Amino acid sequence: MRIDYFRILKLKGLTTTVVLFSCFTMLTFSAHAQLDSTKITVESGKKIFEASCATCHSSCPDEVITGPSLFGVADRWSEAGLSRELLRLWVQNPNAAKASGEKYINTLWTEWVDRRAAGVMTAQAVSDEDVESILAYLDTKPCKPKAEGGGCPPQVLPEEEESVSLWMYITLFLLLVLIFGAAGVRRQLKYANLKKEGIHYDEMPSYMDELKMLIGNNRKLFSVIVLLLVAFGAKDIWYTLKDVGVYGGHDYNTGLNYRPEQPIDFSHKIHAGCNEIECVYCHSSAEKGKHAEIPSSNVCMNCHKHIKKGKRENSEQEIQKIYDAVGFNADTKTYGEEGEPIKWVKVHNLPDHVYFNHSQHVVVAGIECQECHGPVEEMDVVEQVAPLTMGWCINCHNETEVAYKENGYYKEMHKRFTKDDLRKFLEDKKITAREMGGWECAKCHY
Amino acid sequence: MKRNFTYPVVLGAAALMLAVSCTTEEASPGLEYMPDMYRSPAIEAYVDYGQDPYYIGDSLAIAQRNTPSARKPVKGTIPFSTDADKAWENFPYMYANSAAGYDSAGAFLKNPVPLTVANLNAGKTIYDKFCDHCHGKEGGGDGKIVTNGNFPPVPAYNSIAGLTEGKMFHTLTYGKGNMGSHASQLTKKERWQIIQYVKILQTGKKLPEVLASLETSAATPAITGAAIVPETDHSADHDNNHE
Repeated sequence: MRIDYFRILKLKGLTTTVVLFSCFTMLTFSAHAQLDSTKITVESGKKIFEASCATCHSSCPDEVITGPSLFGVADRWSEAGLSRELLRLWVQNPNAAKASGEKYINTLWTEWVDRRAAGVMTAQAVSDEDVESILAYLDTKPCKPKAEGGGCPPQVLPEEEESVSLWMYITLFLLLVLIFGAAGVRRQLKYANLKKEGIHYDEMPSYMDELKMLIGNNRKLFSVIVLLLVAFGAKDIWYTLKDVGVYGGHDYNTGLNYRPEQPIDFSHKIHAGCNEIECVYCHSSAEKGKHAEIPSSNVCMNCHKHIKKGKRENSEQEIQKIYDAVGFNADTKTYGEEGEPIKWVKVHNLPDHVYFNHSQHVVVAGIECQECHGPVEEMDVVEQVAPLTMGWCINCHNETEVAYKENGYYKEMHKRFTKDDLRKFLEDKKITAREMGGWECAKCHY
Repeated sequence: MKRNFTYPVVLGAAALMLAVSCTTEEASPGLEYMPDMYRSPAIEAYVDYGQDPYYIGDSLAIAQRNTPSARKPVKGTIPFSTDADKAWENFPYMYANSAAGYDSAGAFLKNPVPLTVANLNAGKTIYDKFCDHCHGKEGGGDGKIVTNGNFPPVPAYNSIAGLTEGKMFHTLTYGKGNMGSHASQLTKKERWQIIQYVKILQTGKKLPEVLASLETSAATPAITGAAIVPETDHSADHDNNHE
C-alpha cells in the first residue's frame, strides 16, 4: 500500500496551524480580557441579578438576606485595592478567588462563610460580560423600598369591646334617683293639689296601691309585658344552660363565636388566605397523628427569618415576639439563647374523655379542614365555628357518606360486612360513618 | 299624663335587663360546670392544666402553667419500626449542618425511595402542600409569597439543574440560606418523595409523561438502593441534628 506522505503532512500542517491559531486567539482574549461591551447592558444585569443574586443578596444598603448587601460592591472592592478581574472571578468561582490570598477576601470569608456555616457562595455560571452587566445594574442604585406585607391587606383586629364601666353604673344610679325623686315630688304635689281642692284622703295611698291601680287600669298591656319578659328570660336561661360545660363555641346570647385573644396578633387571612400557605404546612401533624399541632416557632422562622415586618403598625413588635421565643437576632440573622415558648391559646378544645384523631378524619376520610373549622383562611382572628359537642359529632357521623372508593381501609371494611349488614346499610344507597361503627360509644370514649 | 310618664320607665327597665343579660365576653370559653370533664388527671398534649386552680390547687396550677404539655422526645430517641425495610426512615441524619456536610451529602447521599408512580404522586401531593407557596406550582420560583413581594426571589429549579439530590435532602433537613429546616414537618421518606418530584421539575419533564413511561416500564426493576453512608465518623455532629 502506498502511503501518501505528502497529503498527511499537508493535513497535519493545516490542523497544527488551526490549533495554534485558536490557542493564540484565546490567550490574547484571556490576557487582555477584551469584553464585548455590546453585551453589557443594565437590562440584562437586572435580569441576571433578580434570577441569580437576589435570592441571597439585597441591592439595598446594609440589608442582609443570606449574604451581604451588594449595594456599592464595586466601590468596596476598588477601595480595598482589588482588581475588577478578581471581583469577576469571585462571582464565577469564589474558591479560586480565595486562592489569591488577598486580605479583603479573607475577611469576607471569615465573616460570611465560616461564621455562618452557610457554605461558600455558589459558583455562578456567568460570563465576564454578565458580571459587568450586574455591576452596571447595581450602579443604578436599584434599591426600592420594600413593599411591606406584600400584596396582602393588613390584619383587622376586632374593636375592643367597651366594657360596662363603673361610670355607667354611677350614671344609671343617679338617673334612677332622679326619676324616683321626680316621681315622689309629683306624687306629693298631686295629693297636695287634691287636698287643696277639698278632696280629703284619710291616708295617702302607698306606692304599692298606686302600682296596683296602674296595673288594674292597664291589664292588657301589663300582661303582654310580663309574657314577653318570661319568654325572653326563658330563652336566655335555656341557651345559657346549653352552654354550661361546653367549651367555647357559639354564644347564642351574643351571636358571637369563641374567639380568644392570642399572645401574637396572628392572621390566618394573611398567611393561609393571601399567601396561600396550606393548612398542613404549619399544622403538619394533622395528617400524621391525633393532634393538629400548634406549630412550634421554628416553623414560623422558615419565613420570618426574612420577613421582619408586615403592613400593620405594630407588626414589627408582633414578629419580634417570635424572635424572642427562639432567641433570634434579626439584624445579624443569628440564633442565640433559647427564649420562652409562645403560649398560644387553644381555641378548639375537646373534653379529655373524648378520643379524637385528626389523621383519621383528614387522611382516611379525606375531610377538608374547613368543614369543621370554618373558613379559617378568611379569619383575621380565629374563632370556633362548630360547637364541637357530641350532638354535632354524631350528627356528622350519621350523615356523612364514607368515601370507601380508592381507600384501602374502607375497602377492607367493606369486605368484612356480612350480606345482611350490606342489605341493611345499603337501603339508602350509601354507607355512612355511623354504619361503620361511628356511633359506637367505645369509638370515642374509652 | 300618668301614661306618658310610667310607660317609658317600665319599658326602659325591661330593655336594660335584657341588655345586661346579653353581655358575654367572646374571649371566654364559657362556664365550666365539671372541669374534670375537660381536664383529666391523665396528661394530654396542648392542654394548659394550669388554667384551672379550682381543680388542682393554686401552687400546682402555677407550676403547671409554666410547663408546656407538648414536649420533644428524649434526645436520641428513634421511633420503633417492625419493618426492617422502613428502618432507615427512623435513623438519624448522618451529615453535619456545615458546608462540609453539605458537600459530602451532595456527593454520597442517594435517594433510597424507588421511583414509582405511587411515590411520584405522593411527592407531588406533598410538594403542593409544603413547597408550592414559595417555589411555585412548576418550580419556577414564582410562589405566592414571592409574587406577593414578601420574600426575596427563589431560584427556579431549572436554573440549578446541577443540584444533586443529596444536597436537596441536606437543604430540606437543615435549611440553607433563606430556606428553613423542614425536618420537623416532613418525615425522611416524604422529603425524598418531594425530591423525586423536584428532580422531574428540574429537568423540565412533564409529570404525566413520566408517569406514563413508568407505567409502561413497570416490568423493568425500579431504581432502588439504600442511602450510602460515608465511612467518616460524624458522631460529633449529632448535636446539630434536628431529628
